[in-house]
Amino acid sequence: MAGRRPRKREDKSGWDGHGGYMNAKKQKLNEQFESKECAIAAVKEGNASEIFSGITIYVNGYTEPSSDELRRLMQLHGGRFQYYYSVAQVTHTIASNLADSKIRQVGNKKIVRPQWILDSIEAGRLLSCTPYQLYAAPSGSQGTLGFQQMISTGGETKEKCIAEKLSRETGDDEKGSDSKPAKVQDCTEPATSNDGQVHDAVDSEESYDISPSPNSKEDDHADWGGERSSEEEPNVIAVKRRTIEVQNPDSPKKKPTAKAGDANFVSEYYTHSRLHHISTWGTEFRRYVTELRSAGRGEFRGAKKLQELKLCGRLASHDDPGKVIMHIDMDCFFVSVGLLDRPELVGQPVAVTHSKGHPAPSRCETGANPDYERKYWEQKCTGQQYGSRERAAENACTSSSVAAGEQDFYSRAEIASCSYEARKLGVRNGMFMGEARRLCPNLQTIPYNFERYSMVSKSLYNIVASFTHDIEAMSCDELFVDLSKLSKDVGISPLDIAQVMRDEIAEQTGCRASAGLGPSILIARLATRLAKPNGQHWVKPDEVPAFIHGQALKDLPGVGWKLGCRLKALGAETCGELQQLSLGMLQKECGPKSGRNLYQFCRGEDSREIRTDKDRKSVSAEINYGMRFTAQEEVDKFLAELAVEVCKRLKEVQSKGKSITLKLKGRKADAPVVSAKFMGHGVCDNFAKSVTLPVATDSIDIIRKESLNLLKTMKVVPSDVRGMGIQVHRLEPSTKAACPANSILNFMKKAIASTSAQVPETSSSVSMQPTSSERNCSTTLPAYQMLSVSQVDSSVLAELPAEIREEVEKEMQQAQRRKDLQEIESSELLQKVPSAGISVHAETHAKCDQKPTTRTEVTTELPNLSQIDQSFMDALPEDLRKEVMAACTEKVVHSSAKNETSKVTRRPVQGKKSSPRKTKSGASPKKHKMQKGQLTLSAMINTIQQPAQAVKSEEKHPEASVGIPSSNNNERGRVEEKNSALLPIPSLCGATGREEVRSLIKEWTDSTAEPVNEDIEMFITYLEELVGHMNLEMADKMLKYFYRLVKVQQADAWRLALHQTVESVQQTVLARYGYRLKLDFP
Amino acid sequence: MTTMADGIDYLHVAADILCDFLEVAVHMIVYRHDVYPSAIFESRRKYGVPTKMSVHPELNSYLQSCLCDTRTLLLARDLDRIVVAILDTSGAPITKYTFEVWLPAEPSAGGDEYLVQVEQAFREFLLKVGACDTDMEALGNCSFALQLHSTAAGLLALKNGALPWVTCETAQRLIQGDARIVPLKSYYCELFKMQLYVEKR
Repeated sequence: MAGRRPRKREDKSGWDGHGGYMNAKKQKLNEQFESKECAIAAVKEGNASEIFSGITIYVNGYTEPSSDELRRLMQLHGGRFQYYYSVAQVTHTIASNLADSKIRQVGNKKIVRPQWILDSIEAGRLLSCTPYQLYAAPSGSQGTLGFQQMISTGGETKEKCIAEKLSRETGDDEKGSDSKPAKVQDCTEPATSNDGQVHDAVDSEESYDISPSPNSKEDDHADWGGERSSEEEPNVIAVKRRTIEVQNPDSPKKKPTAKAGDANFVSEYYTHSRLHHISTWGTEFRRYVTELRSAGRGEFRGAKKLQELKLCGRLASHDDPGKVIMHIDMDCFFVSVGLLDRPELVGQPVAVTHSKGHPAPSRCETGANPDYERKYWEQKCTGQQYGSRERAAENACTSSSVAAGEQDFYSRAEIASCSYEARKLGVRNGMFMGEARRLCPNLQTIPYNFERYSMVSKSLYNIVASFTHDIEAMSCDELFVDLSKLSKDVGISPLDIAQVMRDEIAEQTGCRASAGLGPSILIARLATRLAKPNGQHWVKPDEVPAFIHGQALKDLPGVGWKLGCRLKALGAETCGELQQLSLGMLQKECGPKSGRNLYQFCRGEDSREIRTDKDRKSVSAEINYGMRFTAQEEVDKFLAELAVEVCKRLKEVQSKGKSITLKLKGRKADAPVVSAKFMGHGVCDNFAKSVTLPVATDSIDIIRKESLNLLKTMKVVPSDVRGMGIQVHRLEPSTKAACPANSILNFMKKAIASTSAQVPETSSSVSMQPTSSERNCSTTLPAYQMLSVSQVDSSVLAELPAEIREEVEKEMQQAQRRKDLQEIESSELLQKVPSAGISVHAETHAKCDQKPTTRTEVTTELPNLSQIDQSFMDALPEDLRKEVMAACTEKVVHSSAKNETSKVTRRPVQGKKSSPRKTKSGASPKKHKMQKGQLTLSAMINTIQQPAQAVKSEEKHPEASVGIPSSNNNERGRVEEKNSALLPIPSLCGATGREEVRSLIKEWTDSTAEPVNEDIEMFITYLEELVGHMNLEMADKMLKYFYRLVKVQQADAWRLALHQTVESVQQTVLARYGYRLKLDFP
Repeated sequence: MTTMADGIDYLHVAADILCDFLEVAVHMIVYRHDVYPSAIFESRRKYGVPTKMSVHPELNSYLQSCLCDTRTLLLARDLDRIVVAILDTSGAPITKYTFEVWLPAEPSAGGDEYLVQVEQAFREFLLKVGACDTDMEALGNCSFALQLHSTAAGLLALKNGALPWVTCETAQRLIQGDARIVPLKSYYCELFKMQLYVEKR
């Protein structure tokens, strides 16, 4: 008070120009403050405390209580008070209302309502300032809103604030003292940092309602703004009174909720899902224990401590207790860890959950039908009580759930863990929040704190491991310990050991653990039930029969809801009742294995040992949240991502699986399309399909392929997919030695990678490069064709079974040969280009000489240089490339030179698509029929003489005239094709095969009344060529065929033609062989 | 001249398999024409078909010598045809079996490295030989001769051959009268080209 007025006056008198003065003044004020503090603290004897130590406040504007009062309180309770705002010193700004400009000035500092200070003093300790924040600073996970909307005002305060504002604007300096100034306060909240992160993470999978804490004074849907996580004063310990995880429902999120199908959804999901991590801890700790054991230092700090205690006489010595297993289970782990930061909640019903269970739906999905799901869950509840998670049957739960008002059903966030106080009221783990809220209206909810869980878990395991390494890790808060050896070695009663351990756990982690001891795992686990909370219970071997008799069946391992029902139908609900049943009957009812297990368990027999290195049975990845697909491709893509995730995990545990199961959740046919829970899966039908592989794998490709196949067989509409999971089971350890390339496919893939660089696009651009055609590809992997011997790891080959190895080798050799061939052929073609010209049919027309050597039917269809894919050229060997280039250029020159002389259009690719090889034979009868009703052979030829159209039926007879080494697939084709390059095969209009030529001849004779000379000459030429090409057999047969056809024709013109033909051919044969062919006709 | 792809000399391969086949074929032809008593022939399976092969050592050694030189010519690429001439008592040919062979510049197995198709072709050749209607008049009363059609260079190559070759006289070469050609079989592959025809009256 004293400080304020002079300040104002002096400001007005112009002193403010001197910074030195202000500094001096501030210092003086501080000194005053401190001296006064002492004085007042002395006066108010006993009331003083240090709760605000480390906190410096600056009061901005009107507050209630006034700034003077606040200053007094701060003095009294160890805090500091600044008259002037200083970013460096002020930790909290106290205000009830704050103008936009002032908020900017405050920056990232916290602005807190004055009530925070009052409540903290009342509580006797520093409370978390989060609930008192005037508004939150923008957090990473949400966008910023305009401040006007965010200013939170509660009832009266608002008006006062406005009044205050107005009065200030009118320049009233005096208001500070007697009016009640609004306080703007800044408040730190160390605990939120974790939460903030969690929420960020959870955003992607879960949205939560905004809901102020029910007993908060501000029930008017105040916007608290987002969590603050960025700013944190390290030396301040604030304890939140209530944690309120809030999110403005209207605030535009920077990051919209991810949905499956978005890029990288799977990896995002798993990186962000802390729940997922927590579920993997069991495995992690198991591995941790294994590591500890293998490290095997054999030095147990805890055991030493036990011995010391014994020496001190604090622990009585004990005989060897025989086999003792201890089951340690943390008491409501999540809750007790959460309460470490919130001691004020101890003793209250507390639940750990995402949501607040806000009664009104703040975000009801349009189209969602909560009634439907409610009914569904009600039905389910009546039957099964939330399934196996529900431990003790709570009838109240069923009835209440049926009676639940609609309002209560809105929050579908599940309770992960709840305190014993809450359990007393019927709240159970796994319950929906809305339901729990109804059972226990003042249920306090706290958010997850995964870092803390992890820390506590680690120290739990470290503590236990300091006693013994005979540990079987179950999960983050549950483990079995074999105390037999320890107890025997140190000679201390297991109960004492348990007590020491539990004390140490409580001391180090602040959380309580319960311990059950018994002669077997089963009994130890059941004993923990009795021990809880925070106790221990030892069922000695002789007590087992009596103990087990009263145990409920569903507490036995392996007895879930279904089996429980079945056993109930048999009249057994407790172990004692089950003991009445015979082994045979149990086995009949439950299957041989679980029947035997049950038979033993209900007698308290459990032969299971502590397994420190338990093998995994399966590895899986499953996501049931955020699945909203629109197209099949999205589903496929998503599944592929899941496969990647599964493989990653397989590799983490160094296993390979033989069996792959695809699990699918599909929207139940009558369920609403939009689930009540945002992006949840709603009511679903579950499908699962499996496939067993011949060889265990961890290959992404195989798993992806198989999963996709499974998916195809399931035939689920993409939009109805609500969840998907891939599980790999029948695991085998993958030994490192055997897996540099762990599958043939993998190694093929590698080979492709390397070869594809070498021989790219063989099929596409350059026609002279013979390639494997489609037909071949369909039967063998294209990859196989590309392999060459050098590319195959010989060690891999050596690993293969003999037959497979041979096959691979053969395949590779062939491929190699083919490659060689290609080169030969292409080079040969290249040689021909200049001499043979492009088309040869021209020679027929020109009646050129009949020397077979010049009668090259080969048409080289080199594309222009520009048409050749540059990457292809680059991939060619240096010499080959040069040749191709040279040939292409030559072709251009050559073709232009020949253009006039050749009747045939030279442009080879004309009228064709990319590959001439694809052209079907123009000579094939069908085609001709389609083309013309009656045609002369020469006409046909004229139409087809362009090599492009001309014909080659590569399907049957690859040796066709089109000299492009055709892409033949079968090996015969290859042979012939090669030959065609080496020595031109005679053809009749492109037809070379026996049937082809025959049908062509038939066509000719059938369609034409009188043969044209030209055609006859062509035919003769063909036959003579055959003779010249050492194919008398063919010439003979064709002549005879022609003879038969002509005989049918009975036309003189044809007979003449026959005679002419025979005569010519005979002359040729005579010239070459010295004799005529033996023919039965003249 | 020879191809050494994959370390295999396909020219030698071609020559070897051709000679192998020719041996079988010549035996078959000789048997078919009853040049020798059938007692000296025994049944064997070759190329998957039953054939007759002589067990007479002298005949066999003669044929082997001939084929040895055939091989030499093949390798020299100087063999045009190999003719099995069935001669009548006067030594004039009455039937001639002509194997016309041609080797590509660079023989290769193509897609048939197990020679499945070649074997198939050989089988057909043999069957055609067996099925060919022969001039029965000369049966049992004839002899045979092997004639290689080569060049002067080929003859030189045979200087150090297994047999002292002599040039054919026209009378031995040509069938008297109006003989005709009956083509039996043509086959080509990437290793070789071969056709068989019969000339007879």
